[in-house]
Amino acid sequence: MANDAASVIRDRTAIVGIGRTNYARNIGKTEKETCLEAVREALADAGLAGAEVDAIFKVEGDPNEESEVARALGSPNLRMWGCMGWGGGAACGPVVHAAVAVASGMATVAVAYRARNRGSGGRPWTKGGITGNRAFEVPYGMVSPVQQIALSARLYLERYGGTPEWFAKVGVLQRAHAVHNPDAVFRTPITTDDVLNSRMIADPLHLLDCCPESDGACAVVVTSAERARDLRQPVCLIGGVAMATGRKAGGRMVQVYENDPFRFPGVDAARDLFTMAGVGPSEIKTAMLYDMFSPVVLYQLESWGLAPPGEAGRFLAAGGADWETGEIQVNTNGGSLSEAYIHGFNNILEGVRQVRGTSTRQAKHAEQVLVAAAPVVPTSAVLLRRG
Amino acid sequence: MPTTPIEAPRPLPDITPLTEPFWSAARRHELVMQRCTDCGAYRFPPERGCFECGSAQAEWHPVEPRGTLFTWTVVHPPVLPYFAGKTPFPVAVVELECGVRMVTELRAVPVEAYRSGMPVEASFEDIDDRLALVHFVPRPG
Repeated sequence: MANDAASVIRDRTAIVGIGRTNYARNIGKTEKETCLEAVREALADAGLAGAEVDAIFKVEGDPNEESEVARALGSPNLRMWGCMGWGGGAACGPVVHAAVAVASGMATVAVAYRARNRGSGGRPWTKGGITGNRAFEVPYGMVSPVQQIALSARLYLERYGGTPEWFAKVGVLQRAHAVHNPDAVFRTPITTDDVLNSRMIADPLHLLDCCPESDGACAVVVTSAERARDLRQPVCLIGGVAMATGRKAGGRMVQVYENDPFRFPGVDAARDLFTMAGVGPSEIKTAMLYDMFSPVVLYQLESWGLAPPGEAGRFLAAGGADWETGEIQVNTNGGSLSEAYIHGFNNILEGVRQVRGTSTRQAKHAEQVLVAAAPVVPTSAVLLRRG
Repeated sequence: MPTTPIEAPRPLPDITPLTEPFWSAARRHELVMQRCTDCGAYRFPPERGCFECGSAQAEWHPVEPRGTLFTWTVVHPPVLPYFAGKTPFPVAVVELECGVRMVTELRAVPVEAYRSGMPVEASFEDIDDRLALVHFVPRPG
């Protein structure tokens, strides 16, 4: 099926505009304001008018309803719109939808966005009923995402013979990238000891293994590859897209309830994305890997075949993603851990900047850039490349 | 004005038609699991269909209240208000002999003595007429 999809989707569309607000703990604006600020910047970046937008895609939890945004942009009619569930797993989902909408001819100019006041707006895990799977977890104090990831992180270290230094390395690497990024909320270099000496949040994860809680918004504009060549930015093709639930993900902690606790839906997304894009993991030298907590970067490297199963910790420790000398460059904006936590959408923007050659931490080999959303829940990914 | 601290309510499960048999069995100090009538696969937490075969038919089946420690974490703040005075506290995952895993509390042993694979057995904490929580304690191997 993915092969058939390739003939329709591969390299047929492009991200032609990106926009974002500043990122902050408390941005002092509503998500309605930040969303439109980011979308308008993305359209201006592309050199397209709001009146041309005929499709809008968003993620669940974003309060900006599609037709409301369309009205504010002066779009005369949306021919397609939609909303993807699963938080961080949805990060690339609106871009997947946009690419499919444009490639199929359902739409000509599609906008995707994520506006979120997670920094000033409170923690979603403190709200909501104790229903579904939560009924069997919350009574024991298993409530927040970091606690869930900690369960698998401890097991990972035990199973593969690692130490918390493996996780700390992720934060240190990404902070070194963020130092160069004026958008990043954290720009002071950190060491492994800084991570390990930061306060424990859920053993074995420390504060600096966790992303900050941020306010901000990001948006992208997608149109056909053909039209992209006439627009103002270097062409950033969408070489492939994927969405995957895996078998038992979705409100369930894969790392607890799946037979193999490290077999994430990212594996399914990787298979389909690489098939569609016609590349393999060995060709990926730059990647934006969803990183709300540091161990997830290790899980991503393995899910995407960028490191062998159980080897990502050793791979990173041995310098596998070190700046310039590493085999791969990861989260060159600082990622969620250091740039900001806009639910993964800011990592999509960095993927585009790498392809354009405009990153503040420009990788040498960014002809193709993988952008992957959270792999532990129903997930999504895009492969971007130079046109 | 003096304020009296109000203890945060304990977060307890919403009991639904899908999950009621689990909780009422726990109240009788029995452990039951959903099992697919067609293929026999156990599943937990409860679902409306079998992810092995797609069957809608399932029954609640008594299972041995025994298993082994699969993994755990020790939780520090931030936590829900009820747990605020209890940090740091461990949360465990137990793999039952029937194969499913449960989030739980492993009691009667300090977290320093937790070991993956250590044998455990269920221990029920009565909450009210409708509900008991399922904890675990070590058992002789």
